[in-house]
Amino acid sequence: MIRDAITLDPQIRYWVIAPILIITFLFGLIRHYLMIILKNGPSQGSLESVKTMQTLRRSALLRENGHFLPANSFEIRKRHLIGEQGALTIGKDTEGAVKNPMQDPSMMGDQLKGQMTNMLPMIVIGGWVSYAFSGFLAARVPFPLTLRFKQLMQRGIELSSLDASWISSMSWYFIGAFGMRGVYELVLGEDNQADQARAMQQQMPGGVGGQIQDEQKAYKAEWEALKITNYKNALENVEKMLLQT
Amino acid sequence: MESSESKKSARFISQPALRKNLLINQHSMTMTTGLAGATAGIIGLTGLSGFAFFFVAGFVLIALLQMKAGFNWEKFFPSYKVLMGGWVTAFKTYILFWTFLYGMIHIY
Repeated sequence: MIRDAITLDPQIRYWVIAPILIITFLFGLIRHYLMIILKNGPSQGSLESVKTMQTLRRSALLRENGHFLPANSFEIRKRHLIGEQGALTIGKDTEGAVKNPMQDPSMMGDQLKGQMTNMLPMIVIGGWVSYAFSGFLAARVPFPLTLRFKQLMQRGIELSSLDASWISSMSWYFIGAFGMRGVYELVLGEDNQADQARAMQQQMPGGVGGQIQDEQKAYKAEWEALKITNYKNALENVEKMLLQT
Repeated sequence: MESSESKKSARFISQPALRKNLLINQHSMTMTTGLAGATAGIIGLTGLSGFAFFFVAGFVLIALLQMKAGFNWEKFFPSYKVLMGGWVTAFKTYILFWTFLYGMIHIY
């Protein structure tokens, strides 16, 4: 099944493929710990924003799990939140200052640090790999690729008749960098900073611990959602169920 | 009958337990795809048979997870949809191990 079996120097195996893989992995680890060291610490925001978020969370929890409460308890809680002096109503009606997340210094710092720590090693190592390991074939992907990939995969090699499956060391580095994510999750547990794709998603401002951009809107949405939530007793037949088993 | 009606009522899902179960799922997925990729590389699968092997490994993984859940998936997860995430990462891990072992063994 091996088409045009090109024989590569076995030294490549030891001195190129394995080192690139090991370096990619180790740098991921370094990046993870570096991010932990450099991070600003758990940013909780001001007391106001904490109160806001807790209130909203409480309302959401009530909506979700309310049907496990007795009818009276549910109504009491609902009225407490969205009644005349309710926490949600007050929050809905106050015009808060719109906090522009772009001008928030601590958030920007975190964002920048995250971006730098993630992109920089990739660029640096990519550059070093293409400098040090260019001009020869490194490996072969076990599946056929179209010719368009040749330009991408065979950066330093100028053979036009070469099968597109043979890749340069640079592409091996990228394969390694992308495939390592699963391994990172095993080794580092959840919420690891070496996960680049998730890091790219996290570049959006705001977040769980951050400040809400428009609190009034959030209050309003929660107020309306809670208002239309009807009480539905989930424990209605629970005696029957118990007696049946 | 009453029992089938009451089954439609809400279920109380414990969040930490659910998260732990999902984590177990994810870990198993990573390990099996890594191992499957290594196997494919060692055997020397190329092209289509390699991709087919990935799907086979996926099915085996789902079957094994079902066995671990005692064929009672509903007891541990709110729905079957939790199986849908994370396959792309698993695929990338598969490719990595596949290419690596294939290169190691078959380029000499």
